[in-house]
Order: sequence, then structure tokens, then C-alpha cells
Amino acid sequence: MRRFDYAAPTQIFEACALLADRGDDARALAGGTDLIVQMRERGRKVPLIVSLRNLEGFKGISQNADGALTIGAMASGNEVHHSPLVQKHAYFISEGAELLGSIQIRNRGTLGGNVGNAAPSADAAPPLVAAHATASIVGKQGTREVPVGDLMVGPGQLALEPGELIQSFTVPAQPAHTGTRYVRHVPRREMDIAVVGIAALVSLEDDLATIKEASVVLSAVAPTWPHATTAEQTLRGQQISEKLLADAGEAAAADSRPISDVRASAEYRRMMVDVYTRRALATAIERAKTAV
Amino acid sequence: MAKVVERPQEKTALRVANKPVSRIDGVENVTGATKFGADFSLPGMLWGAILRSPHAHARIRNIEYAKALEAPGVVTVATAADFAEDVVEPTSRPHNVFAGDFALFLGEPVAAIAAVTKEDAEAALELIEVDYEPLPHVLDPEDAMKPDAPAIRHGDGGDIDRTEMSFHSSVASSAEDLDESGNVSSQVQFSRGDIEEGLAEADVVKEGRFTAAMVHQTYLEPHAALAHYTPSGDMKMWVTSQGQFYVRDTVARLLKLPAHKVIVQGTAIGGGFGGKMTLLAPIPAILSKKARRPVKVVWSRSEELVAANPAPYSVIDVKIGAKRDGTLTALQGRVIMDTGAYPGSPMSTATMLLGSCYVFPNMELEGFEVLTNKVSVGAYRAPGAPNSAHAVENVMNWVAQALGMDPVEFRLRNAIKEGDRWPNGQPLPDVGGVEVLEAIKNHQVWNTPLEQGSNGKPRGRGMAIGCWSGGAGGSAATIKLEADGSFSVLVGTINLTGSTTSIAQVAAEELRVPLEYVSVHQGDTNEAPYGPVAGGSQVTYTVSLSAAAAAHEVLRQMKGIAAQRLGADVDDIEFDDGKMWAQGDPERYVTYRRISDEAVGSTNGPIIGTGHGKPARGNPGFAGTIADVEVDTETGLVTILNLVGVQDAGFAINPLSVEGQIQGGTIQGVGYALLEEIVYDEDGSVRNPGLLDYRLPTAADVPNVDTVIVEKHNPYGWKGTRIVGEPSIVPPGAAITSAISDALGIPLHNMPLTPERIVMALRDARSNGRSNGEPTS
Amino acid sequence: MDYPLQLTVNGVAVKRIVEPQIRLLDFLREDLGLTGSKEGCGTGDCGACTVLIDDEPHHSCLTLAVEAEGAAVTTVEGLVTDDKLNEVQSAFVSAGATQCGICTPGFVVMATAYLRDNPNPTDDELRMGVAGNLCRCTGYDTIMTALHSVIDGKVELIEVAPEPQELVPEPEGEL
Repeated sequence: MRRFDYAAPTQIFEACALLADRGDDARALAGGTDLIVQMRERGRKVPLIVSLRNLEGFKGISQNADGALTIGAMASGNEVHHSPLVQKHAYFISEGAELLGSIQIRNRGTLGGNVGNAAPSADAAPPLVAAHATASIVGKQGTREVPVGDLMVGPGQLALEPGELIQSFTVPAQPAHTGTRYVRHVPRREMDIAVVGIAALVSLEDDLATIKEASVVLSAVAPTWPHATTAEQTLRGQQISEKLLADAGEAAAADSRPISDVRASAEYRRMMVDVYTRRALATAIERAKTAV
Repeated sequence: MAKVVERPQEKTALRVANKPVSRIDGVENVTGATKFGADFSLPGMLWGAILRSPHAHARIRNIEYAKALEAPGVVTVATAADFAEDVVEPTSRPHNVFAGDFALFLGEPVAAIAAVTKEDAEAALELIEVDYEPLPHVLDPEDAMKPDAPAIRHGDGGDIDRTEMSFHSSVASSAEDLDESGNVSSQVQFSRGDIEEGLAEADVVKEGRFTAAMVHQTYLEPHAALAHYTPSGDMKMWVTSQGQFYVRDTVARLLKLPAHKVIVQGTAIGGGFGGKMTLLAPIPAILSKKARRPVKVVWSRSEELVAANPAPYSVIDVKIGAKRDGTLTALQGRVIMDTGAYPGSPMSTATMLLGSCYVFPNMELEGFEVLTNKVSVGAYRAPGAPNSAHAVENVMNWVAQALGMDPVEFRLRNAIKEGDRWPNGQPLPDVGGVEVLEAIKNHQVWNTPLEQGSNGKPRGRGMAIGCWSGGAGGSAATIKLEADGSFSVLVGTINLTGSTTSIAQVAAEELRVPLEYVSVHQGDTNEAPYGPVAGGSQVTYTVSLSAAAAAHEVLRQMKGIAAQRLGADVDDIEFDDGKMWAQGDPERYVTYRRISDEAVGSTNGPIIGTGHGKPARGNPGFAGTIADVEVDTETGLVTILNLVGVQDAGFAINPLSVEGQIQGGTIQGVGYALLEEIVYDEDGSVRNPGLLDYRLPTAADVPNVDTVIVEKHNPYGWKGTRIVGEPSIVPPGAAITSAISDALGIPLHNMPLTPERIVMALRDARSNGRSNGEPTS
Repeated sequence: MDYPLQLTVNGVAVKRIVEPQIRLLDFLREDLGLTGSKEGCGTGDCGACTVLIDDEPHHSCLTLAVEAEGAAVTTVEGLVTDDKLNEVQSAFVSAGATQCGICTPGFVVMATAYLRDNPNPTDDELRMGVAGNLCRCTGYDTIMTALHSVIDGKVELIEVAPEPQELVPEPEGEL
């Protein structure tokens, strides 16, 4: 790996200032499971690494007075995966976190890093988008809240100013009868990158047979983590049926904008969006029916 | 646990042989004490880094490295110019350490730097200025065979170096090296009878065109080597390689050093599977010779996947005919094997193995080894054989199905036996093909009908067999009687598969002492007797003979002393448990310890014996696989429900080790069948140069392998031993793809069967109206 | 630029100056000579470099040494206590779960941590738990056998470098 400078400030403003001053020459280091690989294997040159490990206020998972959940950006994949709070609040965030590589990766890799790396194939970010989570962004100018769905503008690109950092995510309280599911397609069961990932959130009416609200977010089949908006429209207000799920699957496939790469062809990806949207919705609905 | 099929022979007298024994290096392995290639360092050591061609095909007009030499920490730079012209074979990858006038694949080494730190060496690579003239390249072997394809070789080809392939197979190859016209570097033909008549008299004929992907051996330890050119002109090396003498000979030749001045210590090796020979070692050697300091080079995983020597991509056509009663009448086959930028692929072996398991009265086989601008291929566990078996065994199953015959019965009817001939005309010794088939036939899994699951996912069963000829090189071993009656064994072969444990078992068995009283040491190339490359499954096969011979020599010397001591005739001396006595009087004994004492003080001196061994001939090993699978037809994901691995080991010196070889080879076969593939981009770069996208099976992707060891005595091996390491990888790819084909009711022709390939094949079959129909081709 | 680094490795306090690009794996192997941790891929995809950082398994190839400041690191060399292999190590030896041995150090570190946290997993949970550790030789069969013997409490701890036993007593009197 190329030589670089390193700082591990204890103050947020210090970290922001370092990153702002050095601009493209600096990168924030959370777990490093993506960044270190990029620097070593792909020769990415980063003259300054600013480690976030000593910063206060980036860790922990807690429930707020309004029922919303706050997850620190430096919470590790394993913390998020195993958190009873997360599992109770929005199970698919736990499911997405569980898919970050192996146990070793999940001990290092963080939720903030998974979002911040801005890979279209991220597994932990799409559930946040589907759950309408917001990110608390800190910078020299102070703090602002941004919907996670608006954060990513393209592969590797976030809508952040130089010197801005993701400090935490806030996941709003979900309505009654809500179920969630994150599922992905990979050739192996572990240690793979999503070929297709589907985050589904479904809220049912009290009759448990009508869909009140549905959120379907796609991974690895578009430059960002978009909502499958046609699929969501197809579902809203409708009675649950096999045909409805099949229609939603087809709609999501049409909503996707996949590319062909070494992992799969665009054509196959589109077919898998259909299949896995159907499957994710079916599980989310089952969970919604038993949710309190 | 393995079910050992006992052969009717007296085994009760055996002491440690044929008994499961934990590896004697096990404790070292689990504590991290075992030292592998990258674990060796020396004071004052430099680190090397390699500059690689960014072009799949280019003329190298000039290399300028003055700026690199001025960079911080840099001590020296090496290029092709540092090797004498007369040591470079244009057609031999091991002898083209660096690209000369032409770079023939993307990733080919162009230069190397030695610097004080790894960072310094890597950073300075950018400062080497190479003037490339990119040339048209070709990546697909069938494209490369076209008359207008870009020519890959330039100028006089010279003789093709096939040294490495010869390690793996003792079978004579009649491959004909072609001249420089076109990209077909060699071609082979085998024929018997009249193919047209054979096909005409068949009641059923099935055929198919099969592809097998380029896959990497993926030993988890990347290549590593440390070289120290000392002031006295010794080239001392610590290298992870399957053959330390092969490394020595290669380095000695390339650097024009006498063999005894190149002293290679083969380190513990973190897997090789045929792929770890001499690719790296000459680079630290030349850097050290120039720098006069120790130099270490360790490859990254991406260097492995881009520029090592993976197993070849192949396209194989097979057509098989049989009569209604199940008698085979004809085999027609054509192999196109992509050898990459240098010849040396297992093309002729793969072609011959098409006709290796069954008796075909009429046969026409041809093979083409084709050059492309990709990394050159090497050996991978039974090189070429999984590709062949994939094609032949799938077609055999289709023929059986069309005949309405059980596939095992169909094979038994035609199985090759002692005295039958392989396509090259070589008559076979007593092989265990029939016994392997019988073991499958009697296996509980085979006799339990596969029930369809309740989840709607179709299930299927496949079986296949395969064989491998193996090597039969010569070796020597030395045994010393130590002061306390224990023994030390010195060998020059690499402990690739646990052979050290097996050799200790052989010595302990012959010397009649507990295993704890034998240690095996792998000496460097100057101290140890010669041993062949750990390839072709031959180490235990040959060294068991030389170790036994050394033990007999030691015992002969010991008996002389015992006889004197006991006042008995040498021929009457019996021995066991570390003591010797005269026949009929076991109470009056002399211990090995006492014999050692006596010998040291005698005029004959300490007891030491060297034995030589070479199996009189190779004797192929047969293996078989049963696979049960379940397929998610929507996603193409395959779950393996049952996996049975059967193999004839002749005589399992260490059944635990044999079982481990069967399991490991079978799961590598799962990689072939479902997951592994090096994928190239149009520009000749590898698109998946890491273990994220080059997918090895994980523990979660595979079931246990139910193993069966068959023991069909091999008259040429120690107590009936035959080759073990390789055969297990041959049939699983065929069996698993066949099981998927069975589940889906469509013929499938590619390895690996990725989820996408399965889904697309199903879609194509549906649009052709062939879903759930009888496999046709 | 050089950074001071303080941590404990296998219970021993260590103080060194390191450059920030030095990975924990390099630091352990090159600076401390603890070559038990292996580099199989350098990208977190094989698990051969697994060490415990504050008792949790991490890839030492994806961890900068400076990021381990103040941590307690345990490598495969630190698993032996009182001259005995730990349960997982002992089970690996007995079951023949180590072939070439290059994946073994990372595998035993990972499995030790996994079984500590999940003492009673199903076979499938166990396989998923160690799926980040690749083995190319065994096909995982004997590794699973070894780990199940740990789960079942059937492991006899193996002594490191045991005293050898005398082969055969010298007969009385002179022959």
C-alpha cells in the first residue's frame, strides 16, 4: 500500500476541518473494509486518512422519545445485526447488516461505511432507504438531516460537501402491522456481493389483507438505491394476492436499470428483481401480519 | 467417516500402516508454527515487486528504468536483458521470466524492482518507462484457430517445453508440435477401428459440445520466494513450490549457476494442486544476484488470479454410440484447449482420457492446443481430466437414459479392465474402475430413491466416474538409526498432501516401531536425496518404495550387529517393537538402542541406509461421484443434497489422509461445477481478480462428502498402494452437472453452471418447447 | 510519517513506532515475527489473517496497525495455555482438519471465537459462522467434524511437545 498520512482526531470539528481542508486528498476511515481494499488492490491514492475511531457521538444504538431509532454511523455490522432494538424496529436493517461479508467483516465494517462507500450493491443501505431513514450529517457549518435515499448520487458519490461526515441514522417509528424483509441474490451463501438486493417494507390495514403502504428499494440494479416506484404504486391500497405480488415483481423489474458486469448480465438481473421482489414482499407481508 | 471396502488380505499384522493417523505436523499447523513461503526473512532483506504488461499483446520497444533506480529505497531493477539469450526458450513459460521483445498476455512480468521496503518497491514500479506498441490480440481459442487471427508467436519457436506436464502423467503423449503457422501449437489424434461403422451399428447415438471454464488452483498461499546470493556465490533459496529440485534446476539454468550452488529449501507449502512450480523463484534470484542482498517476493492474490498458471478453458465435442443391449460401439471426440500465451497445456492427456474409462471398439479422437493472448495455463489436480469427464460422462448418462438402462449397469458393461487398451495403445494394468462402479452400485445413497421435495424445487441425481494416470517418478530416501533406537528419515520431496505422515508410517511399519519413534525431515536440495515434484499424485507412491528400501537397508545393517551379539545367524533374526532376537527365542533380545550404541563404536560406523524407489509403472486411479441436487428454477441456485466420493486407493497407508484427499478433491469439483471461472474482458484483463468474485466454495455452500475408499491391490506400489491425490477431482463436475440436468430435464453443457446459466438454459429450453422432456442433444 | 503504537499482543504489552500504511497483519508478521497469521487474499475474503481484537475476530489485513491502538490482540500463537492446545486446536489435530495448514491459524482463531459466542449451533449455523474462512484442501468435512466434537464436548486437549516415552526397556544382564 502507498504511504499516507493519518490522523485520528477526538473532536468532530477537527475531523471535519481536516477533511474539508484536504478535499479530494483526504478520506474518512470507518471500518476500512472497503477503503483499505480500494487503496491496496486498486491503487487508489489517498494522501490523508482521517480515522473516525476516536470521535464521540458516532457509536451506539438507541431509541428516541418519539419512537424513532438512532443508529450511530460507526455501529459495526454485527452490532446492527444483533441489536434487539433494530430487530424489533425494522428487522430488515438487521438482515441487511447480516449480509456484510463474514463475521470478521461485520466486526470491522460499519453501517456508516456501507452507506458512505456508496456502492450500488450495498446491502445495509437499501433497508434504511426503504424505512425512510434520515442521516445526520455533521460539518463545519453544523448538523443537517438528509434522507438516506437522497444521499447517494451515483456509484461512489454522495451528496456531501467536503468535510461533511455521516454521524448517525434515524429510522422513524413504523406504523402498526408493518413487516420488512431484505433479501439478495448471490451465487454463494456468504462472502458475496449482491447481484440483486430487494428491501421491502409493507404496512397493512387492520384487516391484515390490504396493503396500506409499501416501500420497495433496489440494490445492485441501478446507479443508486432507488425506490421501485411503479411497484410501490401497484401495491398501495390493494388486496394481497399472488397476482398482486407477481405484478409488483414485474413492475419492479421494469423499474430497475441494471448493467451487465462480471457478476451477472443486465437481463438476468432484471429477471431476479422480479423473483426476489415477489419473495421479499411475501415475507414482509407474513411478518406484517404477526407484527404488533 | 469413510467406509473402507476391505480387500480379502491379511492386514491384522500391520502396525501403523493402513490405520488412520493424525498428521504428524498437525500441532505445528494449529499453533501457527509451520513456516510457509512468505514466513522466511533474513537480515538486510529487500522486497521485490513486479511490473506487469498492461496489454494483452504488445511489442516492447524499449524499457527505461533509470528513474526507478533513483527512487527512495530502490536497489536494483531486473528485466529480460539480465538473462542470457541461450537460456531463454521462446515457447516455455518457466524460461521466460520476463517478457522480451513481446508481451503475450496482460499481466506478463516485464521488470522487477528490489527495494528496502515493499512500499518503496511498489511505488517505484510507476517510474519504469516501457515503450509498448500494442498489437492485435485474440482471446478465444476458436477465434485464434481462424486463418486471419493475429499470430501469437513471433519468430522461431524452438522446441516446446513440456516438462511440467510430464510430472503429472506418466502416460506417453504423442502430441505433435506444430510449426509456427497459425496458433495451434500442438495437435494429437487417436483412432481405433472404424468410427463410421461404429456409429452406424449403434442403436443410440448421443452427442454434445461442452465447455469448461478457466479455473484457478487457488491454493490459499500465494507464491512466495526468498533468495540470497551469498558472497561465496551460493544461491540460497526458500521457496514455496511443489518441487524444490525443479526450482533448483530452473534457477541454475537461468542464472547459469552450477546445480550444487543453488540450494533450495522447499518451505511448507500452503497448497499447490499442480499450480505452484517455478513461476516466481527466478525473480528474487536474479534480483538478489544483482543486489547482492537477500530479496523476498510475495505475490498478491490478484497477481495469482491474473498471472499465475490456471487450468485451461476447453471446448469438447463428444459423440457416443451404443447398441440396444448397452454395448458401446463408438466414441468420437474433439478437444480444443486454450493454452494461453505459452504451450504446455494438458491437451493430449485430456483428449486421451475421453476414451480412458470404457472399451470403445471404434474411436476417433483429436485434440488441438491453441495459443491465445491470455495467461498460460498449468496443471491443476488431474490436469484436463475434469474437462474430459464432464463431456464424456454427461453423454454416457444420456445414452444410458435413452437405452433405459441404469447408468451404473451401463458403465459396468463397458468398463475398462486389465489388459484393455487406452487410446494411445497402452495396455492397462489391473485398474479399479469396476470396483469403484460396484461401490457406487452398493452405496446406500444410490439405492435410496431420490424423493422430490415439498418446496416445489426439482431434484435430480447424477453419477460419474473418472480416472487419472498419475506419475511414477524415481526417488530416494535415507534413514538413520539414532542413539536411542529411534529413526530419522530424510527426503527431498515436498510435504504437499500429508505425505510426510504416510512416509513415517511406512518407515515405522517396516522398522516395527511406534510412529512416535520416526521423524521425517525434508532436507534442502544439497542435503536431501533427490525426490520428484509433488505432482501426479506420485510422492507417496514412489517415496513409500524408497523409504521401505531404506528401512530394509538399515535393518540389514542392524541385523548384522544383532546376530553377532546374539550369536545367531543373520537370517534367523526377527524383530519388533524396537528389539531383535533370534528366531524361537524372543525373551533373549537386543534393543535398537543397544544396536545403535554398538554400531557407533564399530568399524562399520553408525547405521544409515539409503533406499531407491521407482514404481515399475504408473497405475491409474479411478474415482466416482454420486450427486443429488435440488434446483431453484426461478433463480438457478443449486443446493447439493448428497455427495458421495468413491476412490480406489490400492492400499490406504493413512485412511484419514486418503479420506481428506477424496473430500478435498470432490469439493474442488463442486467449484468446477457451480462456481469458479476466471472471466476475461475484451481487452484481455481479468474481471474478477480477487476472492470476492472468483468464488471458492465456502463451508456454507457444500455438504459433507460421504467417502468410500476402495482398495484394489496395485502390484507396483508398496503393499498395493496407488496414486491418491488427483482422481477425486475428476468425476464431481460431471456428476453434479448431470444431476442438475436430471433435475431440470434438459441437457446442460457448461461448467460452471452458474445460477444465470441455469436460468437462461431453462428459458431457452422453454422457448424451444423442450422443458422437462428427455435430454436430447 | 511515524506514529507511536501501544497495544498488547497475546498478553504482552508492545510499544513501537509504525508508519500508518502498515497493516496490523504486517505489524504482527514483520515487526513482531508472529508469522502465524497468514495473508491469503489481502481483501478480507479468505479469513487466513483472522486475529482477535479485544476478543472479537477481525481481519488483520483490513486493519491498520495504528487502528489497533490500545487494543488487546490475540493471534493463533496466543491460543495455547498451560502447554495445551485449546479445544478447537486439539480437535483440528485429532480430526485431520488441517491439510496444507495455511488456512488453519485463521480458521482456529475464528472458530474459537465463534464457538465461544455460539456454544451450541446447528450444523448450518456453524457453516455460516465460519463461511468467511476459506479452505481449499479439506472440503471443510474434517473441519466440521472437529468443530462438532468441540460442540459435543468430546475433545481431549493435546499437550504441546509432550515428553517422549521410552520405547523398550533394556533387558537385564549383558547379552
